[in-house]
Amino acid sequence: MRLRTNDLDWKQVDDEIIALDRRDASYLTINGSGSVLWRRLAEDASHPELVTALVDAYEIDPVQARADTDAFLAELAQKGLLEE
Amino acid sequence: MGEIIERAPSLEALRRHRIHLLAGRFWRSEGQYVPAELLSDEREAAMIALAVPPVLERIRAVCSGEIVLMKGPEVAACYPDPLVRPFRDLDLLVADPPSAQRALLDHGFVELGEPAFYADHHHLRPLIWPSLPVTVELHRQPNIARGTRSPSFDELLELTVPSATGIASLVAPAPAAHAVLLANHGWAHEPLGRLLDLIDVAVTLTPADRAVADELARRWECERLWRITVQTVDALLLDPTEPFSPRRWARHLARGRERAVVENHIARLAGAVWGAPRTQALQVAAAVLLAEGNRRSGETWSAKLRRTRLAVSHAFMVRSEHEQKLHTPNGGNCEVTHQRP
Repeated sequence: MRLRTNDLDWKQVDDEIIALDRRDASYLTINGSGSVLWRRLAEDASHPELVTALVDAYEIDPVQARADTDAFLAELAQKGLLEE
Repeated sequence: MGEIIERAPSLEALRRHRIHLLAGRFWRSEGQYVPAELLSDEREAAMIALAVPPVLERIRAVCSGEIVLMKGPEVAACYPDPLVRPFRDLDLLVADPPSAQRALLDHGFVELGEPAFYADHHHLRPLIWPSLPVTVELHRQPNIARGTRSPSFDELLELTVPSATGIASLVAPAPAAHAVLLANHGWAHEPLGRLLDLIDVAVTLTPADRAVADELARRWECERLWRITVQTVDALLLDPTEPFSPRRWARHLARGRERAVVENHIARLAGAVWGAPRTQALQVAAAVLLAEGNRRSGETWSAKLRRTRLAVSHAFMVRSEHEQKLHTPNGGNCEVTHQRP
């Protein structure tokens, strides 16, 4: 699973991600743990690597990190921003 | 630039010089506080930068013929981080702007602004692609200072390189030509007015052959303004060993402050005279004085008189404060009906 490679552009502003979905010209602002996950997704990180990134960044429990990662990925998938 | 940013009296002054995004980046790198309103500006700049490729691709698909992209994203690409160079519009030069405008309107672009304001303007009414926050301005020729000569579209085409945006078959002025055009455009807007204009010249001139740029400035009859701009750029930005001895009307630059109302009036007159070819200096001075005495588009004579009276009483006030007072109910001028969008 990774970020869609077509019609999706993004920029980093401080710790935030500003993304443009060019299919419908809609913008998305992602901050906090979402921006950590987005940046790792852009590097083709695997699911376990995403969970580890959250654990390292926020020193949270791995179970909580996995739940947060799954919720974030589900939201991106729902918006059509991921591809296999 | 760090020293100038630190000397600047306010965020508003940095905004006036259009170096606020650069200041934000500088403060963050120094571990200093970055105001929340600046983060909002940074978000907006990112949104505009993201909008550029899809808008240019649509334009390229609709308009046949050569398209030259000037300023904005083309200059931003010369900065170490393009996101610190603010812009809101895409300045495009085409052989036949009215035809290109019609084609873009037929394909979903929308016009902005009052038609009367753009009747004699140097570009057609701005266009926007709905939902994307960047406007498009079609020009036949670059905007230039009084008394200087604009290169024709065909002449400019011979001085182009592929656009830094990477959009296929879109071109941009080669660095030397771009630097001279930017200096002239900045002078037309306000002689040595904003630091961003000088930084633009610095970043485009750095990879260019200065002798080529000097020759183009001679050819386009803007040699004097070019020489003053380059001297100022060198002293302020590129070569700290160069003494900075600005003319009285350019002293605000080193302090990153805004011009006061009186300085601005002096700059418009003195700058126009200093920048124009010697043979045209008197004519240019007369034209500037005439323009200063005239009403703005849509302005009544009573509003003009109130504006003049306020300018005199605000002579030593910075321009942003003066302009703010001009547009308050008891400040006077609310009668200009044609404003830029």
